[in-house]
Amino acid sequence: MSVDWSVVYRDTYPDLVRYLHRKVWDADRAQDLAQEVFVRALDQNPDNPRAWLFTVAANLARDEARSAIRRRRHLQLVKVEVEAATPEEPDAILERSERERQVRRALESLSERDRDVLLLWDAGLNYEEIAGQTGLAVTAIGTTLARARKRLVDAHAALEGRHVARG
Amino acid sequence: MSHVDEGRLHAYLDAIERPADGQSDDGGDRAVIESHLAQCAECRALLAEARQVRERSASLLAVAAPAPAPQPSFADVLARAGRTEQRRRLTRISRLTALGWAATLVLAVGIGWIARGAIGIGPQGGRPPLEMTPPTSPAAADVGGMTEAQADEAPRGAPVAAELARAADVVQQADVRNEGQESVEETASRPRRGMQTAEPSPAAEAAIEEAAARYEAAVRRQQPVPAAPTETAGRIAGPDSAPDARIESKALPAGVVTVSAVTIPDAAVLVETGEILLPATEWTSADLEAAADHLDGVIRHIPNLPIRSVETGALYGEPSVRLVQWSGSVPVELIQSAEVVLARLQADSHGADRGREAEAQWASTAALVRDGRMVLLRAALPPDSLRLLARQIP
Repeated sequence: MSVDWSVVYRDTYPDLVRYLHRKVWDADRAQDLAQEVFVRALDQNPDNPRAWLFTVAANLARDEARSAIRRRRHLQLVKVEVEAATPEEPDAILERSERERQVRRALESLSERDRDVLLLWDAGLNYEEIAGQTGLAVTAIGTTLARARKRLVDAHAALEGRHVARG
Repeated sequence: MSHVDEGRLHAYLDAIERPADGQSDDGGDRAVIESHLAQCAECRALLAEARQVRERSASLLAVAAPAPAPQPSFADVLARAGRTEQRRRLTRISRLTALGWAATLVLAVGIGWIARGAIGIGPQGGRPPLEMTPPTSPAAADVGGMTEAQADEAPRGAPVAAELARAADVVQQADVRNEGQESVEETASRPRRGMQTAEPSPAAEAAIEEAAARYEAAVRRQQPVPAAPTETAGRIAGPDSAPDARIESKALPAGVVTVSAVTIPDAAVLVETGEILLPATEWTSADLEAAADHLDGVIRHIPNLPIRSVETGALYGEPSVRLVQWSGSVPVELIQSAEVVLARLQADSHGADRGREAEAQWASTAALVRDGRMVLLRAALPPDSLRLLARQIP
């Protein structure tokens, strides 16, 4: 089967970055990893590009957590560092970071399976693709998503409550 | 019909949101659910609740979405793929070169061995020694019962064996590096299902560790280390802080932190990353002017963030300044010192207690160098946020 990778790249790259960002929690690294996924896809030329891309992205994100790999990645991020400054205000950066931190903590309170299913759905995968990626039955995806969403909302509310109480 | 469970309701709503997907809920189930909802108030209430949870969950995930950034062109990806392929070829070539050297060496030794036999100087040569000359000295004669030719052979054999061993090492190292690289790449490229995990190869880990150790050793050779003083809490001072305000050193995560990036000006490479372990240091409160005198240079800070404390101290004997800026509940620490301190911090942080990494997962460090001075930023922020703040520093 012939795949037009430029089209797949155009359509899938933003979803991959979003998915990876919630795995590695670093925008630059997420973009770098997303590109790396496509580099490997061009080499392997898989039949089912979308599923393959997300599977490899999940593996890369997992490997990224290992300090040895992280060390190497950072060497590549250096060049990003010297690029032009962003106009975002420090206050806005800090506020966004704080909000993101709360969501991250809420997400991390979910089981790995619930979190994976939720992030894959949010990245644009359908139930069959999520089932293929996680090994769950297609009929179980709705139930898993319902549980994951509820737990995310509850965990975030609990964290916010604690945050407000601390003042 | 029995009530519709939560999972089916979510699947129903998902199918409405993304009808093109088609797989999340077939048309038949959808018709059955709608028919049931039309006559069941309890399930309608559940549906409303499910809708709320879905929307709230989506809005939370949106908060954790990366800031919009331009998508690199596909040509960039193609170029990167080309570079990767080129690197892979070079690795293969270097492996073949190493094998070639080893083969040449083995061949040379073999030819030499045969040639020795042909001219009759070896113990198993074609011709026996024509004449046995008496030993000229006891030392020369006493060679453990060997003939002179055998005695001659022994010390020659040792360097050859050593050379062969070295050649084998070269080949093995090339294999280890090559396999390590391929292993890491293949591990990530191999689709895995469910909860399966794959470890990176020990060879790859070893190669990385080896490189880190070499770097550390190089840094240690260049930088002599004075003794580090002990740590005390800092006291608030500085023009922008209230006189009665106080902040303690422990307000910021101490110890092991994750480095996000370290830049060296006029160089294409960031030196090293990993964990940075700050040495215990005595900090003394100061005002900005005194701090600038102490540092013998300008004090850099993030524009538009209030400065809460200014302190002076010494890191590895180099005059250093610690500045704390914050907004709301997030303090950002800026440590400024000579550029050499950065290398020392990095070197000392190797082999630090990595078990604390998880504990300090939100403590990021970004470092930059301006005019030969290091500015190290630490905060309980994600690395990309800290990098954005670092970029604001003039």
